[in-house]
Amino acid sequence: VKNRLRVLRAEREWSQQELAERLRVSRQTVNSIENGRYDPTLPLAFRIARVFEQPIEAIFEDGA
Amino acid sequence: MNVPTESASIRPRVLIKVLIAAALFMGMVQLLAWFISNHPNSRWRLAAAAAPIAVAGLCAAAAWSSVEGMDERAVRMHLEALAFAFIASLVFLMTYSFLSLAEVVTLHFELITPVMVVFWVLGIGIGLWRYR
Repeated sequence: VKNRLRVLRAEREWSQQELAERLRVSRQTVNSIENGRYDPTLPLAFRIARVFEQPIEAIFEDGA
Repeated sequence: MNVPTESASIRPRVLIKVLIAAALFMGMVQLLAWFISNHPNSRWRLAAAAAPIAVAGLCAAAAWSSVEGMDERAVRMHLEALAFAFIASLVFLMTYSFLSLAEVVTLHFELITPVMVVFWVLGIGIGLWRYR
């Protein structure tokens, strides 16, 4: 699953640590998601969508 | 609110705690095995045989504390490490027991715990690399 997390974070000038705190996860988790090495669960994906005030499908894209 | 921090994902302090507890357990098992074999008629024999259970409880508490406060990526990493440790230990110990049937090696049951711990640590390492 591809995502626009890095772009959206950069637009808001947030560090990975700042975003991690907003999402209540570790900085490494944010890094893993941004690098496409970890796909978040649905609850975390919803939290990400809420934090960026965008629908999930605007952030995550099915790689298939 | 408990926010996982930089250290919350890897938690090396917890890993060290688990390893110390496991080493303590192994040391105690060795000591008690020596005591039991050298004092076969001691009335403390049964108590000595059961004593490692208390230390095993310490190991379990240390391992459980590692689960608390983890975020979902860390939980997944640890679950995969446990699955890896279980399967790898099974294969290793089955191989070892077959070799012991052929009298190539001698199977020591006290090996099971450290083998599982080693594979678990290896599994954590694989997880850290995979989800880096």
